[in-house]
Amino acid sequence: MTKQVLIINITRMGDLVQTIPLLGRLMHEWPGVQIDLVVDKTFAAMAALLPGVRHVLAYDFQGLINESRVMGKDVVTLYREMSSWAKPLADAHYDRVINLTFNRRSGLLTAYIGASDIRGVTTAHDGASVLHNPWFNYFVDMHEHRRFNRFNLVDIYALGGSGPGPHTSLQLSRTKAAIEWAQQFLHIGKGNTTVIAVQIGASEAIKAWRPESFGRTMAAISRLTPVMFVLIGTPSESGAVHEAIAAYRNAAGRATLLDAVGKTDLPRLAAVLAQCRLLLTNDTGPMHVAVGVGTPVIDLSVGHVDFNETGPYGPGHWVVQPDLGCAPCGFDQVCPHHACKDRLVPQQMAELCLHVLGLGLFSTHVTGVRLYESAIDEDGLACYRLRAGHVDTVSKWYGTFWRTYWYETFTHSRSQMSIEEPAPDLTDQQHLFQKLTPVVGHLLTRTAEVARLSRRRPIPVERLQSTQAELALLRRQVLEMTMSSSAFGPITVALLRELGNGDAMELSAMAQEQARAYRIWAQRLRGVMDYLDTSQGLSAQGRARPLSERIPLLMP
Amino acid sequence: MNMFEKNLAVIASKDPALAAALRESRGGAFNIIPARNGQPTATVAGRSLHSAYDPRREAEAWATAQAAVCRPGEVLIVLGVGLLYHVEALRARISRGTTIGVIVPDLNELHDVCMVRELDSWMNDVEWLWSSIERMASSLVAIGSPLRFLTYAPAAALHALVHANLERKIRQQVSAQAGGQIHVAVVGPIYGGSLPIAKYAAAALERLGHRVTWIDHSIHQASYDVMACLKDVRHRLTLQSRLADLLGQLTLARIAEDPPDVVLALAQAPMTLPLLEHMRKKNFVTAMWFVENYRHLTYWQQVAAGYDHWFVIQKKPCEDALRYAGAKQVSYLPMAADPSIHCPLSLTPDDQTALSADVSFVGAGYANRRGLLPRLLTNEWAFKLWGNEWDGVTSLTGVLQRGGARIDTDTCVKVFNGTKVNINLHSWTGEGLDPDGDCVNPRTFELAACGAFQIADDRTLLPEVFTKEQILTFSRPDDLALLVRHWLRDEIGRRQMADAARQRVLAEHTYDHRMRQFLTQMGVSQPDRVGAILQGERRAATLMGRSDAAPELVPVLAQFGSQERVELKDVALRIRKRGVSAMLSREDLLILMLDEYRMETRDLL
Repeated sequence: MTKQVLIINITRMGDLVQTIPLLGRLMHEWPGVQIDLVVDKTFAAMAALLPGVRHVLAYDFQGLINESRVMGKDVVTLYREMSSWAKPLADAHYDRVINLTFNRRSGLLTAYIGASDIRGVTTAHDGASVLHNPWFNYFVDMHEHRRFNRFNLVDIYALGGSGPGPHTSLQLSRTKAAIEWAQQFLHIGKGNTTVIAVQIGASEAIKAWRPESFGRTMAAISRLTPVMFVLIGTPSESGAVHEAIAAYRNAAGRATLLDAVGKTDLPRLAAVLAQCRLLLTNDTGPMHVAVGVGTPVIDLSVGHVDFNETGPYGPGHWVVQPDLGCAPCGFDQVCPHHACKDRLVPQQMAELCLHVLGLGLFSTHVTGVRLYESAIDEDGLACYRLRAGHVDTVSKWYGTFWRTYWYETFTHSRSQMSIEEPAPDLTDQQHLFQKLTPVVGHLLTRTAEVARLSRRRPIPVERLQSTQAELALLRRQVLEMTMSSSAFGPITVALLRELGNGDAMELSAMAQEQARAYRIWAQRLRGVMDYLDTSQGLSAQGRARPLSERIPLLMP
Repeated sequence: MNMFEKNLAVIASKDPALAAALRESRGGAFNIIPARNGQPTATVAGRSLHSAYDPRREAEAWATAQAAVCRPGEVLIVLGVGLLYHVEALRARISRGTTIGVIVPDLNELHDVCMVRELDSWMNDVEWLWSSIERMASSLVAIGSPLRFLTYAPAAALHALVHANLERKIRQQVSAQAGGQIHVAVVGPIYGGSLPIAKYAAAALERLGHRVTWIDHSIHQASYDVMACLKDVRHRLTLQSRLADLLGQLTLARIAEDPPDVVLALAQAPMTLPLLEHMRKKNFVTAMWFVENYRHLTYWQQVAAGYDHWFVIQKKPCEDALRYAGAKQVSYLPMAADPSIHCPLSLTPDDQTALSADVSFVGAGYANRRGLLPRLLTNEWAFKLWGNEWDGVTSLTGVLQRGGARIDTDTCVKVFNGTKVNINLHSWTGEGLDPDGDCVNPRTFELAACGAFQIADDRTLLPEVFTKEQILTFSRPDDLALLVRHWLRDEIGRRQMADAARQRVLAEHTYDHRMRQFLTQMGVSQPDRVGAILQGERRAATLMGRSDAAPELVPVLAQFGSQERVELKDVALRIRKRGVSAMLSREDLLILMLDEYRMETRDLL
């Protein structure tokens, strides 16, 4: 029987493009699968370009915010409009619902639609948000230890929504009408010159390099080689674009500027980008569109953007990351200085553009930034190889370690990645583990005791409460010891999320769930420590081995 | 049986619980002393609650004045307990069929009364309201008749906050019952003449039972003034403009936290066109009450297209000019007065000396006033000039009070009340009288509300709001002194005109009237939103009765009072209140999801 899958991906244009490998993976998993996609109305045209989608189910979610917030519509009307749209989804009885919109409201929609196999955020019986699927759990956890994350969102979507499988690149369809429009648009003044697209704006100001710097970079390029620039963006970005143009003129930019800002719908944007030889951009939706039409990208990864998560997917692209202690900052950070943006020097960015165009040599003499080139790693996942600049040894070692560890843990299969060196902070972690071991032992005893007491009838309330109080103390102690540890922090983050992610309906079941979470955590602590110890020995032998050969797979 | 027990027995015959509570109370709220006539009187912290000479006579005068304004069918609520002389006198003057209630915020006061005054059976013809504010409000609202509050000020002042809260609660409950309670965010300016108007408008909306979020930007005036001291004009204007932008964002942040049905900005509120356009995109309904002469203050041209609805104090050329500048809807809404602020009062001897005069003018030194007012300098009468910006008019220095300092509203009211002939010259930057004088300034209404006699310069819109028997006008500068001379001699004529003007204000020109007109107009122009709410279409009963109401929603809506306004957030709150042990239905999930979207604010700022 043909399988049906619903993907919920509401909020961003870039996220839609990043769903393409998941679509491929699902078709590989279930040949003939029928895939429907829930999107915001704004992105319906883009969703139509995704290969393999049966129905694009668009709803005006932004309109819903605008109407409901100001009480513009009464509760009966709001309910009627939403239920008439959502009920057919519930009636479709999907085999799997994959919610790629990580927020509470989409979790409520997911629970309303329902399915036997739900992946991503959904809602528990009591209204609390719960996460299903280890990859999507990881997606939430990784923000606590971003410097160690090496999984691109595209791979997380594909692995979580389906599972491991052949690599699929981002490939967007293009419409004939849009291609013709783009050819006509770019023909004006194009001749045979190289066309570079430039995306100056971004969805949030913190994610955007300074417009003036874009202008100076374009001017520097125009002085080095004959090019034409096509400026892309939405009408709301026109202020920043005008700033960039003014800086370009002041810096004696001499190439033709073609202003496409506000003139392209999403299919036309894809067609324009396909005609360009390079896109210089902030981390934006158009960046993923460029990747989807095969145009090389230089991603200026500033503000709270971490290219490891959202950078251009697949080989042939470049990433510039400021080398600054606070970069990338947290998602909710309100930054007063945006100093990371000043680390990127326009002249150096211009030289990188020329190199990517094949018109200049690669210079490792860049200052204040790290340069990465995108690639596909040994497991077929996206990765970024450092080409210039410096990364600290702890980030580098644990980046690889956790990438390997989580891959093997979640897929139950061996990673082809290898680690050549012992952990740089091994001694510190060994000391910490020694101190941690007895506390963890006590903690496991208490969790087992809580589970046992909660099964008894009548429940021994006082004893249960005192044991829970002891447990809370011990928990606080281990959190203090482990959270900042590069070896034990990430698995403790996973524990905390797991403890709050239960869907048990009564006390006893809840206690069992929690005891199980603590047991898995303790196994993981031991497993990581074993590997760290072993890596020291392996290094002495001059050979590293896949992680899975050393550590039992720990997924329950 | 002593006096206390006798009184308690009378009370217990009607309200045993009150009698019991009084027995438990300790008394001692008042310091009881004998008045000159031997009757007991009371003081608190040195302030007398009743006359130190003849409490009963004083109470009778108060009760007579109150009884004159009461209407049949009203329920009278007395604020202020004291020793109840005033309540007894009121009861004697009001027919038995009319209910009189007395708010008792502190039982110790009633305890003291029972100790010192022998109360007769009239006491049982009074309703004693002595529980929590919430319950008192509920029981008063449940009566269902119009309520008239009568304040016996010396005693009521002891519990001003309780009374204010009670009044607010009652109005909220009355409006909630009617299902038409609107939430209005009133945005005031940083400073200036429209600031008090904004406060009056906010207070009026609350009095009408609506919910108000008062966004007060006057607290930022000190920063604005610091910038005003900058010598470099470019720096000053740049920084003041940035401050205005910032305060606009602050307004947005405030309304994001508790979105109103309508945002009402008063003239000079720091709202820029980009901000207003953003608010429109986000579906906020905005209105501006431009309480300025559009010919004098012209910044409306920059924001005309930004507001959904303009309310102006001028008619034809003004309305056309606004429409030409992009305003979508323009309505005439003249100025008004707040009779709780601008009211008749007796001046103390000290105030009489300092503030009263034969002739007074209060206001800033505009050019037309600088030219006209020196004509009033004569030995025939005492002329006092109040207000600022009179530098350079040496002829007026002798009559300028307090060195030309601005005077506050309280002083203004005293000056109005203490003056035989108040001069009301509308501001104008030219000489003589404003040839385009159309709008009627707030001063006209305020003087009238005070019951103060005034001579105003002629305005084309004045006849719509006052007759010639209510406000005296002049149209030639030469006539002013002649009129003053004539009317100073006619005390009775002055009193008749002033009383008539005050009655007109009370009947038609209070801020309550204006805010009713404002909401009615908003309801007409926004029938599916403001209009629907005012007409009770968001009441639970109406929503349940809708043909398109999903059957699964009906049980949820039935949990609300049938006349209660119910919005998405209210339904969602009911679902959340069921607690973690409750299983959510699929309908609940959908409601909660909608509510999560409702709570989104990240796109606003």
